[in-house]
Order: sequence, then structure tokens, then C-alpha cells
Amino acid sequence: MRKYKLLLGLLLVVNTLMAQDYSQLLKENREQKNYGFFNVVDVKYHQGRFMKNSGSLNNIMDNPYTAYNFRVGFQSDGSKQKWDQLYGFPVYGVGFYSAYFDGGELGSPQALYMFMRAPVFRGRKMSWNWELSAGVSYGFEQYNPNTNPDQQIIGSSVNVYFNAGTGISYQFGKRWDLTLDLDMTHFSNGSTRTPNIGVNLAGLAFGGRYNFNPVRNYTKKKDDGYRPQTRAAFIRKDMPKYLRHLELILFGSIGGKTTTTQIYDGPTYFISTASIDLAWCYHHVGKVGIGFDGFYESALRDYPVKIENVEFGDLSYAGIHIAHYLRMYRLTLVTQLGFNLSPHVNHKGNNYIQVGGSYNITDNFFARAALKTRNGAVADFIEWGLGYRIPFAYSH
Amino acid sequence: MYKINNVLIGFIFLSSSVLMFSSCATIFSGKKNTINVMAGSPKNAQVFLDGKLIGEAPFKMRVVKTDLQEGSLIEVRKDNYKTMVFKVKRSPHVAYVVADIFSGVIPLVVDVATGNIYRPNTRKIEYVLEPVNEKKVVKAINRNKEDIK
Repeated sequence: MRKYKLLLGLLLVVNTLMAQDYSQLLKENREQKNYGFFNVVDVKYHQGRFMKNSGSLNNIMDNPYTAYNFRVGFQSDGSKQKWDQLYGFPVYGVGFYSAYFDGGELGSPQALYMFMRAPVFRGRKMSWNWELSAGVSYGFEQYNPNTNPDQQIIGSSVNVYFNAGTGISYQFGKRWDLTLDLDMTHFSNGSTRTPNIGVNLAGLAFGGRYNFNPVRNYTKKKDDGYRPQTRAAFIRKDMPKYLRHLELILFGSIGGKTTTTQIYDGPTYFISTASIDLAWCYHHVGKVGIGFDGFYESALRDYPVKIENVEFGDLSYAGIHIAHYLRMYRLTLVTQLGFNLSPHVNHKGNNYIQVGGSYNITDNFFARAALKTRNGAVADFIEWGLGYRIPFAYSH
Repeated sequence: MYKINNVLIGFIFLSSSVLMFSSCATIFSGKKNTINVMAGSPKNAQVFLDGKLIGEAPFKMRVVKTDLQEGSLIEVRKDNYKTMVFKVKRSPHVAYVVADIFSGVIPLVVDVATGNIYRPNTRKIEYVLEPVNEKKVVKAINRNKEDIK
């Protein structure tokens, strides 16, 4: 009996010692840098003016607009991806945008979007940041010849939301930041429905940001005294040397467009693009290139003049472009400035812009969606396509 | 009829408010997280969570989420085999993030604030334990075979 009691006692002591080991281990974990999850919630209030691009809806466009933003973000700390370090440890997240326009014809749009904010310069308390957001907006009162004839700005209630901004933020205590940004917002549908002049806003945004680490929801039961850090410490690693090289980029796409003379219920015409680029990959994040575009656009049979006995040459045209590619993770922001080579599409102006995003499905194979403009920055069509990259001529 | 409509509207309002403010991960994940240890080699290895025996592989169980700390250790042990250690790490659950966004962002705030959006990497634990001393184990197996003969 005495023997059993001794054994039981010994077992208890061993168990307690082991439990202490593990709780000590967990405690050591908690004391490490960046234990937990670093999140931010921010709210912004916007006020600004419309950037007028038409003579219609002066009663709305001459007034200021107000909007607010509500966002949730995840602060990167560099522990997982080299891209975090390359971009200065950005915050990624999602947000909800709601604008109020003074007047009923345009409606008051709302949007759901993804955003990224990264620093241009990061000081001890103050930082200067840039931001990009893209998403889907809804709530526009669309053009209707019978019920909303004066609104000749936008032909669809659901549109693309795009916002770019830059501004400063100031750390205000352990958890709070104050922010002041200058930003531009754009809504349009890429000419999938006309009219599509688009809505452009420019203004100031003032906001507050709350930084928090919800890991305490897990730790407080085990260690009530533990208070997690609320701001991430950035982990910097040695970057692998980038081997500069050239790349041949082949891309093909399709899409649909409407014309500006057949507004509201005009047909959707087929468009297609094929392009070839030669790009110089100069850094992990970027490459520049020049390329050739071939376009096929069936809308040319009806616009600007109706063509009888149409031939392939009448519906196709060519251009050359210079391009820049900004890469992050598997995503790339593509910007191209192009010049028309075909005289029969003079109505499109001398130059065009293509802005889009591509996603690397594999190392070489990618999918891309892009907006092409005409006459400078007037939306022409949205294209969806696939492409293949062939890297060569690596420098050592 | 008026009363029934009012009750119905009230019910819809209440349920949508609860759904909106309680959020996807907070509602559907509950207060427990899953540990799922798949069948591995050798069979019937013992599984410990932070030193405490929780079962014999393969098994699937739900544990109180606060028992799965960030950095908790799940160990798979078997005599004569090297112990395999898994560190518990939580990361945002993509499906919950998407569902929260389409429910209007506020649910995402609730899920992030409660930490429920972060799911542990314990839903599929696979193990293959290495023998401590392969020669000794092979000898033992051969000896057993001879005994059987």
C-alpha cells in the first residue's frame, strides 16, 4: 500500500513538473517579439469636390461630396514574405465605402474593396504613406432615357471602385493613429454599359486608426497578467540577390464593349487583343518594357460610321506601347501608355492607356484583367486574358 | 395578420442583427477548435497537447479554443520512435474572411476582434515517426519472426 502511495506521489510530481515545463515554454513564446496577430481598424471621413468631365448634372457636380470609409487591415511584419519587406511592411485589408452626393439623379454609391497601404517614409511616430484600393461599387442611379434622362454620366448601377491616395499618419499613444490623406476616387464600368463618362472625386480624408492584437482572447485564461504588444516589430532579412534579365511577354484577351452613340440599350460588341512585350526585369518588384498591340473590335462596323461589306482590316488596328509592371506576391499592377498606329481609328485619339492587374497562376503563366482607354483617359473597354512569360538573358 | 407580420419582421430583424454582429467565424466555429490526427506510421501513437495525453492516433476531437495557444505543442509519441512535434499556429481562415466581407465588413471586425478569424493548423495532422535505432528495431522484428517459426 505504501509503495503504491509513493508511486502515485511520484507520478503527480512528474506531471506537475512537465506541466510547468510546458507553461514555461508557452510563457517564453508569449515573450517573443510579434506574438499574436497585428490588426488595425480605421475609419475615415472624406470631403472633396467632383472632378467635372461633362456638362451634365451641374446641380450635383458643383457641390462638395462627403464619404466615409470603414476598414479592417492586417499589418504585415515580414515573417512570412519577402514582399512585405520590399514594400516597407504594408497593411492589407478590406473596407466599406459610402458616399453621399447632394442630389438624387446620381444616387449615393457604396463600395466593398481591398486595399493596401505602404510607407514612402516611416519615422518613429510619423509616416508618409501611399494607398491603393480597388473593388466593386453599387448604389448608383443609372441612366435611363425614361426615368433618369439627365444623368448622362454612368449607365450601370454596379461599377468598378478605384481609389489612390497619399498622406501622413501620426502614432498617438500605444494603440491609436491619426491620419490625413489626399485621395482620388474613380467609378466607371469600362464601357460595358454606356454612358460611361465615369465619376471622379478628389478630396481630403481625415481618420483614426486603432491597432490591436486579439491574441489575449486566447491567453487571458492561462495568464491574465500578460499584455500583448499592439504594434508589430518588423523583421528584416537579407534579400536574395536579384538576377536582372529580359522577358518576352505574350498576351491575348477578349472582352465586350458598347459604343457612345448607342447608349442605354445598344448592342455589346466583341473585342480581342493580342500583344507582345519585351521587358527588362530590373528588380524583385518591377520591370519596364515596350510592346506591340493588335486589336480586333467589331464595334468599328457601326461606329463612328456604318461600314457595308466589312473586312477584317476595317475592324482591326495596331498600336505600340511602353509599359511598367509592379509586382507583389503573385499580383502585378500593369500600366501601359500606347500610341495608335492605324489612321482609320483616328476617332480614338493618338494615345491610349491600359491599366490592369495580373495574377501569376504559375511562374510563367498568368491571367490579366485590364481597362483600355481611348483619347487619353476615356474608358474604351475591359479585357480579360491569359498570357505567358519567357525569361532569358540573365545577368550574373 | 398585422400582428403576424410584425412578429415576422421582428424575427428577421433580430436574426439578421445577431448574424451581422456575431459574425461568421464567431457563430460557426463556436468555442472549440478541431484537432484531427490522421492515421500514420506507426499505428496507435499517443498524442499529447502541451504535455497532456489527449488520445491515440487516428482521432478527431474538439478542444476548447483557449487550450490551443499560439505556439502550443502537439507531440506524437511512441516507444522506440522519435517524437514528432507540431507547433500550433493560427492564420486567417479565407472562407470566413470572404463570407464576412460579403456580410458587410462589420462581421469581419467582430471576428478579428475576437480572434476567431484565426484558425489553428490542427485540422489535418499527419505523422510518420522515425525509429530511434533502426538496426535494433529490425533485429527485434527478425527475432520475433524466428520465434513465430
